[in-house]
Order: sequence, then C-alpha cells, then structure tokens
Amino acid sequence: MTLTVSRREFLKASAALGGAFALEFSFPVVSAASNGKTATEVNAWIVIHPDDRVVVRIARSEMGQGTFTALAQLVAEELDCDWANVSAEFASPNEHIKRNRIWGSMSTGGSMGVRSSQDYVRKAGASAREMLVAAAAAEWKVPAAECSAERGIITHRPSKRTLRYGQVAADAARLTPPMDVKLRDPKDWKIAGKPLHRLDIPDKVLGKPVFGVDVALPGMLHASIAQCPVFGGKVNSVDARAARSTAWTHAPRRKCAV
Amino acid sequence: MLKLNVNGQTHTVDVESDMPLLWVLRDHLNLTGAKYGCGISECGACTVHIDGKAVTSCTLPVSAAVGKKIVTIEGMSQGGLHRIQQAWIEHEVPQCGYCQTGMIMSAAALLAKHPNPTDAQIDATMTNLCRCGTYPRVRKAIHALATAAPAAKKS
Amino acid sequence: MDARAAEKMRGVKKIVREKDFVAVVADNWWRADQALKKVRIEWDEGGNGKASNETIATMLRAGLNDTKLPEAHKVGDALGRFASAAKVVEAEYQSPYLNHATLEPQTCTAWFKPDGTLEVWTSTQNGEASMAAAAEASGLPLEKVEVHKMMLGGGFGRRGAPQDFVIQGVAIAKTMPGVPVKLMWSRAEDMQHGFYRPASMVRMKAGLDAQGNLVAMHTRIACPSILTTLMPRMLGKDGIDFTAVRTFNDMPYTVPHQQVDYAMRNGHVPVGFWRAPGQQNSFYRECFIDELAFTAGKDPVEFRLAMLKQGDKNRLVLEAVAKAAGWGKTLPPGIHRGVAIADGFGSLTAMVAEVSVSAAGALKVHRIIVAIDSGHVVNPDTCRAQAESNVVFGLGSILYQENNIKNGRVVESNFHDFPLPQISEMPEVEVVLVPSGGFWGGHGEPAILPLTPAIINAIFAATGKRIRSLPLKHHDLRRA
Repeated sequence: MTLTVSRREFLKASAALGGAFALEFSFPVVSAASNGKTATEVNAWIVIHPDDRVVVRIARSEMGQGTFTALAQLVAEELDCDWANVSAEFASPNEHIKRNRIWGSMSTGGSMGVRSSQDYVRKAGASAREMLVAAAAAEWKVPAAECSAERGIITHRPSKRTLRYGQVAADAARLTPPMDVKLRDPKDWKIAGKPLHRLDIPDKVLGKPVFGVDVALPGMLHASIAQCPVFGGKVNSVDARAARSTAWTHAPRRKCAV
Repeated sequence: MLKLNVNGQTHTVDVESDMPLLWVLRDHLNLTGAKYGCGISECGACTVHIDGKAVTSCTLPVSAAVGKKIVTIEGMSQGGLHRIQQAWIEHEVPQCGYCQTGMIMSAAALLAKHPNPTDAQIDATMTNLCRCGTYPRVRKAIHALATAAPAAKKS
Repeated sequence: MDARAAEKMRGVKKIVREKDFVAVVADNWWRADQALKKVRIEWDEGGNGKASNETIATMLRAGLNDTKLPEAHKVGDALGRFASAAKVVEAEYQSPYLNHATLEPQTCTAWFKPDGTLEVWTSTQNGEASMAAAAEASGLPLEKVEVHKMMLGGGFGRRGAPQDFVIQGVAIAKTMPGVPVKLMWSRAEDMQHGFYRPASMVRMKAGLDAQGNLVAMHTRIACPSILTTLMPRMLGKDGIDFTAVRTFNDMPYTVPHQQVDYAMRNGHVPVGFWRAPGQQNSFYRECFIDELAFTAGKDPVEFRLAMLKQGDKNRLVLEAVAKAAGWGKTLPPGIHRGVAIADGFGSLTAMVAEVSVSAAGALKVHRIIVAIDSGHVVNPDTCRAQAESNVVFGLGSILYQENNIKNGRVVESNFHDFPLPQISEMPEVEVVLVPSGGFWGGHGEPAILPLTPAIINAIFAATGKRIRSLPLKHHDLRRA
C-alpha cells in the first residue's frame, strides 16, 4: 500500500478530476492525547472510539429524507466496520469554515445528498480503512498486503493475529492518508444497498428534543414575529395600546375539549 | 398557582389559567415532545393524553387540565419503550418526525379504545397531519399492533 | 413607537422593531405571541398593496403573448412545421403559488455570548448558508459564529437558500446581548411569508403527422424565476432559469422539431425551491402528451414508448411500471388509470395512478404505482418512504392547496384554509425500484414529478374532462 502521496498532491489530483469538492483529509485533532483511551478522528468524516464505536460526521441536513443514515451507510460500507457500532452526528459549520470547507457542500436540496457526495464520503471510508490496516501492519511489523479488514477487525492472514479498529485508530490517524483508494463495486455491498433501520428514528419516537423549536438554554427568552403582510413592505409605526383582532372563525376538525 | 399531574408527577406552575397546556408543557416544564404546528387544533402535533383521551394541547386552557392525568410522549416510555414506539421503530414510520409524537399519542388512544381498529376507525381517529407522508406506515404499524396483542396496553 | 400596554403584559421583556418586522420577546412563546397580537403595527406596504391573483394572471398571460421571448431550447423548426402538420393541438395550463408548510415553522435561536461569539441553533437545509446569514446579520466574522444544525421538522426547500429566519433571529438577539432568544414563527407568519412555488402559465402547441406522430412542439412558459430571487448567478444565457424550463428543454421524447420560449415574469411574491422545483412542468407536459395520444387515437403508454429510443432508460422504467400496474388489463368497475413519466433530480420515474370519480364528482385516488431508476440504491426502504412522501406531498397540491394573493398578501393563514391530506385520503403506494447501475440518482423529489399528470390523466380516463389548472377543488368532476 502506498501511503506516501502528500495531501497537497491529493488535492491537486482531486481538482484535476474536476470534482467540485476536493477531498481533504485532516490530521487528528486529539493526536497528542491519542493514547488509545480517547476517541480519535481518523479523518474529518470518521471518529473511532477505543471501544470500536464509530461516529460518522454528516455534512447534509436531516429533514426526514434519510440522508443521515444513507451517508453513514456509504462511509461504513467502505470503512467495513460493524454497523451496530455506527452512529452519526452533524459536522460543525464553524469547524467546516475553519478547516477550509473540509466536508464539502452542506447544502441539502435537489435530492443531492447522496448523489453529489457519495464519491468523497466513500473515499473517506476506504481511506480510513487502509490507514487502520496500515497501522495494524506497522504494529505487527508485517506488510500491509498480508492484512485485511472486515467488520471492524484487522487480520494478519498468515499468523491469524487480529486487532480491532478501536485499538489502532490513534496510530492510524497519524499516517498520511492514501491517495488512490479503490471503491467497492455496489454488487459487493454489505451495508450500503440494504434496508437498514434509520439511525434517527429511535430518538424521534421518544420525543427527544432534537428540532430547532425544541432548543432550550438557561435564561432563554422566546420571540414571536410579525412581518409586513404585503411582501416588500416596511414597518411604519408600532402602537401597543390597541388590540388586534385575532379571533378564528372556522371550526377545527378536531376538538380539544375534554 | 396551578397544580398539574404530568406523567405521574405533580408540578406547580405559576401561569395564566388561559395559557394553552402546550406552552406550559414546552416552555415551563421543558417537555418538548408535544409540538406546535398550527395553534388551532388542526394538525395534532401537540396531542397529549388527558385522562387517557387524546387531546390537542395547543388550544386547551391549562386550567382545564387541573386535577386530571396528563400524559405526554415523554411519559409513554417511563416503563421502557412503549409497544407503540417499538412498532414505530420496526415499521420505520417517522420521516422528519415532527408530527410523530402526536401521532403516537393518537394511536395509543385509538388502540386503548379499539384494540383491533378497522381502517375506518383509523381514518376517523388518526386525523393528525403529517407533511412527510408517513400515513401508509402509520396504518401498517397500527394494524401490526392490533394483531400482535388484542388487548392494547393503556398509557 | 408606543408599546406600553403590550410591554406591561405578563412575561413580556421587549418589543423589537426592525425595518421590516416587529417582534415581541417574552419568557414564553405564548406570552410573546399574545402580546404581539396586541401591538398595533402600521405598515408601509410599498407599491404592492393592490396585487392580486388577477394582476398576476394578467402579468403571466402577457408573458405568454410576448412575441420577443428568449429561446430556452430549439431543435429543428417547430414554428415552420405546424403548417404541414395533419393535426395541430393547442392548450394552456396553469398552477397557483404554493407554500412549503413545513410542519415545524421557521425558527432560530441566537445567543450573543459574553466572550464576543455568537451561537445559533436552527433547522436549516444549509449549515453554510446559515453561517453566512448569521455572520452578516451580526456583523461578526465567520470564525466567531457557530451554527448548530438541529433536526428539521420538514424542509422541502424552504430552509436552504432563504435564511430569513436566521437573519431575524440574530437581529432580535442582537438587541439583548448575553441572553439567548428563540424565535419561532406562528403558523400564520409561516403561511404568509414563504418562498412559494411559482405560479406559472404554459401554452403548448403540437403538430401531429398523418400517422399521429408528434413532429413539432412549441412551448411558451411564463413563470417567476426562482434563481433571480435566490441565486441570480446561476441564471443561464438570456436570463433563462433552468428551474422554469426544465422538463420541456430536456424532453426524453424524440420530437424532431422543438422550441421552448421563456417569459420571466417575477411579480412581488417571493418564489423558492418547493420540492422538485419546476415540477409544474411535468403536469403540463405529461398531461399535454396525454391529450396528444388521445387525439392520435393511441394508447398513452404506446404513444410514449414510440417516442423513446431503444436503449433509453426512460423506456425501461415506463415498461416496468406498465407491467407492475397491469396496464392494458381490465380494471375493477369504476377504476380508471393514468400514466406519466419524468426524468429529474438524477433519477427516472414512471407512474400509474388508479382513480375513481363518483357520480357526484368526488375523486378517490386508490393506488399509485411508481417505478424509479436511481442507478444505485443506498437504502431501499428509505427510497420507498420517499416515494410515499412525494405522493402525499403532491396530493395536497392537486386536491386543494393554493396560496391566493389579494391586496398584495397571501390570503391563507393556517391548515384550515391550506389543508394537508389526512390518512384517510392516502392512496396505496406501490414502489418498484429498478436500479440499473452506472449512475447515482436522487430520491427526495423524483416521485413527485409524475404524480400530478398521472392522476389528472386518470381523471380524464374516468370523466372525459381535461383539467388544465389546479387545485381540483375548483373543478366539477362530474362526468360531462
């Protein structure tokens, strides 16, 4: 495996391919503390915990369409981890700006979520997998070609020794990301392409506060707004002494009375 | 000061008697599972149970709920995941999920009254509005619950 | 500004007056909203206080009649071919403005923190756009702003390019530094301050040869431009807005002579990306194609297949849906079928609708069968759910939804006059996924494209009536 191509060359190569977004791999933000006891950012998309939990960062918004899960499936497919260990979180827009738009477009529309990012999110998964394999091979002092990864476990085939992703994530994150990662043929998919349960649904049936209107902060106040009923109009004057009529004149289809 | 029994707990709230129950739940008790969708009892996103009946809390004055048992979505899973919530997960019902807490409360009230609801009963009772279109799965999940256990567990 | 009475109301902390809105800040939302209703606001309506459905229709029709429109698409010589056509068919179709009506209204929480940074929590379809809006409204550099992307109670295109709610939320919180303020729009504000699906009007003219083949088609489209409103840099040559002309300028059908003209007529109503922007054009085109098949005396599926090249994936999708729906086979008494195809948002779709219309003119949509080729499928269950979603979302717009304009403003204010379908109105939806590989298509929008024409064509089969405008509540569907 080649782990020698620099990030700059990678970006140049990506740009030459005409992609609107050049995949940029980051180096671990917690590298100093990555002694195998804390979570490690293997690359911008993938955080691996010592206990093998995998957090996939999602750049697009979840509005019911299932992108949160579908993109995680694509990353997990190439990473080849155990789907039961996968959760997803939104990538931080602030980090995104500070890290030179590392997660590509955050725009969620035009049915674009999967189709416009599938290439780079799959590459992020494949690249992380190769780094994890390389880290395990380095620990064993064997050629990476003698090792393979499946469901979060790296195996040195000749000796049958194994290491879990969580054990080598910190070391893997220090490696230079590979440039040419081979993506799987969809006919070989094990996680992608399957009708897996959506990651966001368990919270949603419990009514956990996840929506914009549910934000609650200490000392928070609430605002209601009135905009000019005629588009393009402005406020002329405000008089809070008189009451505006607010009566509803229709009969609701449902009754609230008990 | 008003005393409210919410999810088995007594709360004392200092609010106007005509404040709709929804805002007491959301802004005073921080129970945000019931949602605001319309404020006029059209959409059902704010549905909670009052003495076991599904009620739209956005137009119900809080004073009308005093002395009654109020159950919200948060109270449904107090003894572990409620079987309706479980069915909702199994059938992948929610999409955006905003209306689903109300939808689940309506389904619970329906199943408590009609353990084996007909499609007509579902149509008449499940009037909650869903903009994403989860209706086919709502129906499927309710029918599955009916066949799974003839006697519906009351919330 | 005299706000004494409202300010004295319980829990009210502040009345914020900005250039184009007034907000009341209180210790809970209901109190804020109650106080806001007591505030008397005089508006400077600007120049649009007299705009109405009628003035907008007049504007669009003038667009259709404009003789100097830019061409969005031209193949062969459509205008020159009509004279020698065996039959010429002409029809005009139209659609109203439509609100997104996300069940969660627009919302934004903003907090100017003591350390000089700003934190924002919002339901956004574009975290970067929210960042930009928050930075601009606050005057802070991007680095000092953080946006927390919350789960969205629906989006459908409302919460991406337009970030009005973030700008407002930040502006309100800016007047109360150190205090987090959560702005939530009332349903009425949400209904009346959207970025609506454009109202549009289209005139189509077709020439058939002696064998009933479509040889020439000329389409004139009068439609407000979404891109002009939200993304002017994306406008094409001659001011062509691709969202306004799609479906006509990229027809899969092999029609030798085609011309598409675009009349950009913007009006004062803000327009935006409503689920599958430009989807009205699928209604127009596929219903008109149905009219042509009828005129030619041909089966609607056969008529379409004859215009799709061998090897075109649109063909396979149409064949798949025809097979799944049992097209050509006898239906139960009273049930009638309509068909439509679409190609958009990366995927190919074909749909058959089965409807009945009672003697009293009541429509029931019984079953929708939709075939989708998205190349690859990442989660088949989610893809099915999205097709179901598109059916419900579209159904409301077909049956009864519309946003009328009177005195410059939107008439509708809540779900009593902008109804959403209920579970009782939901047809059975059968989704046939036919991924053919080799490309990546979307699922969030494609299935809404063929919905309107499939249903409207089925209504024609049931009643002999051609519906050329929506919603259906304005039409008498009793058999002619």
